Amino acid sequence: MTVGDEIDWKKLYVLLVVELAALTGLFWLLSRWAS
Amino acid sequence: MSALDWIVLVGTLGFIGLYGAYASRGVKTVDEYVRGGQTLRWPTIGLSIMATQASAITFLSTPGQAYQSGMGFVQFYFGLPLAMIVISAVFVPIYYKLDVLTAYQYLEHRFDGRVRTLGAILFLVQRGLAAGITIYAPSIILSSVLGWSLDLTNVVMGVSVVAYTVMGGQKAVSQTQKQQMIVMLAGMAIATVLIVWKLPDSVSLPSAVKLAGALDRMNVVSFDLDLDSRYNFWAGITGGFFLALSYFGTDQSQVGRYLSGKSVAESRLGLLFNGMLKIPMQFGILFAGIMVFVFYQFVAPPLFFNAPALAKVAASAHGPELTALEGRYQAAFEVQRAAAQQYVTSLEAGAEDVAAKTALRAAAQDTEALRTEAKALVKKAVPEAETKDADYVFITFVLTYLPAGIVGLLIAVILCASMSSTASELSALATTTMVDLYSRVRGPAAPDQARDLRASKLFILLWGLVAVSFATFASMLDNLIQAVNIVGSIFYGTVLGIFMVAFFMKRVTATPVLFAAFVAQTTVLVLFFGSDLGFLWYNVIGCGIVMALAGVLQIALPTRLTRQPAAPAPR
Repeated sequence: MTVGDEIDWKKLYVLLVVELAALTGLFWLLSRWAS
Repeated sequence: MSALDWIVLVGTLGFIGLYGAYASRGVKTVDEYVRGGQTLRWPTIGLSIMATQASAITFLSTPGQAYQSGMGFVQFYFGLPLAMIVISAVFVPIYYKLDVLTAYQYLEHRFDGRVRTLGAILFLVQRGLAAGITIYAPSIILSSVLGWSLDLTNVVMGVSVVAYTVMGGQKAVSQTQKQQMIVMLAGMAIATVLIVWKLPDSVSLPSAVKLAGALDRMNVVSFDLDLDSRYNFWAGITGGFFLALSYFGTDQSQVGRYLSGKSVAESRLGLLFNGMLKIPMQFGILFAGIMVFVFYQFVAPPLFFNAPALAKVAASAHGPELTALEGRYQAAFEVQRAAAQQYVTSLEAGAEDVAAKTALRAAAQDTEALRTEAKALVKKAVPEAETKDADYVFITFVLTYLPAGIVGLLIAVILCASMSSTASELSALATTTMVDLYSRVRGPAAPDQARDLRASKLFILLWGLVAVSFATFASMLDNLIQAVNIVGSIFYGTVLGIFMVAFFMKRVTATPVLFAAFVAQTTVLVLFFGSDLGFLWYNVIGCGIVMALAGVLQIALPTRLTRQPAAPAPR
């Protein structure tokens, strides 16, 4: 069995987008709090 | 640098070089040399991709950028995860299915030999010059602050990279990059912790962050739509997306990293790993710069961080002027320090003193005005000196305030970053020269692994010589360095456009795309010389014009110009 047979790629892509959104939100909150 | 620093530096670099040579022993075929035999797993691929992009300037300049202008630069990378998704989903499977060694090989399959050659040449020109810069840029900084000979630094860096790249090819590059990236991440983490530890006892981390924010350094995300500003959310998400798509999807120095993967899945995971870690990593590096900034609110920073240049001013006829300016700067700094202390004390007490914040901002403006005066004085006294000293902030801090051993480690970080990027560049330049130009010019010949392997190694050596020569002569060509940095931004949009047409506009053939590329490139150049548009937008515009115009020309041009030629014979 090779890596990839059981990977749900769409879920990984969504995870990346969610991470980006979360980081953007966190950074924005940080900017607001610090400034 | 102390003896301990030298031990750490030489030990780290020596270990990495030997490990690279050991891990890549027994390379016999061109495929092993150029694609590592396609044996690499995703952690190595991911670290290799990150190490290729993170050059020495990342660690030298980025903290200085945060020191000077704040955290906004992190937005530059917001488009990157989205680009990783597109490349994983679309580009990687196609490259693997066609079993290509270079990204430009795909262009011949899709269009014709002319488009492949155009893509390869654009890459060789831009990357060839960039390889020299990757060696030169850190050398000029390290040699000036450490007192090393610039030429010797260039040559030592270039020769050591060429040595292990020639010996082990792609596999040596990837294995060493894995170690280098670990050193880079660990080194920066240790440095950041030490910087925070060195802040005065009366300053907690939250107060430090608020202090930076009070002086406009914590502008991490901005949703203002301003086409002239370089770093905002929209430029990052769109322009940054196109830039990352072009760089990771079509630049052989990155494509070569993930084509060495064992399978499509391993390559994809490596890319997505990069997508997940890149933004946090860049945030961390910028944050180190912010902590240096806060440190320098309580300890007087130099009037001008490029100490050797400042020494030249002191020794010149303008020396007395400099002394007077330094006196005024010290006095202004004391006012700023007092205001900073008062503000932080109020924060620690839980009641922000707005008047102290206002006083702090006013004091900071005064010291900044004196720094601007100092830069003008440097320009007057030493006309050839670079007046932007942001690149020297972090290294000056490291050399002055961090303990022995850590200094050696951080110099190792900077050299690792330079070597890892250069190695990828040289390997990519050689592969593209070999596969996209040399093999085709040589014409069909009986396969001969030994001959082809020798040719591949020779091309790495030749490009290494080009890079070191350019680095050595670059000091005479100040303006050319500016131009070279710009060249990448200008060409990437067009190259990406060619690939986007290739992947997504299946009915468009070679001639329309060639014409469209010419028009797009001309337009971007006109915009560059004639407008103040932020750099990141050039990628969008170049790519957009190629795609739109190629589509129109496919319909509008006579059939004899748009007929699809037969696909080429297998490689």
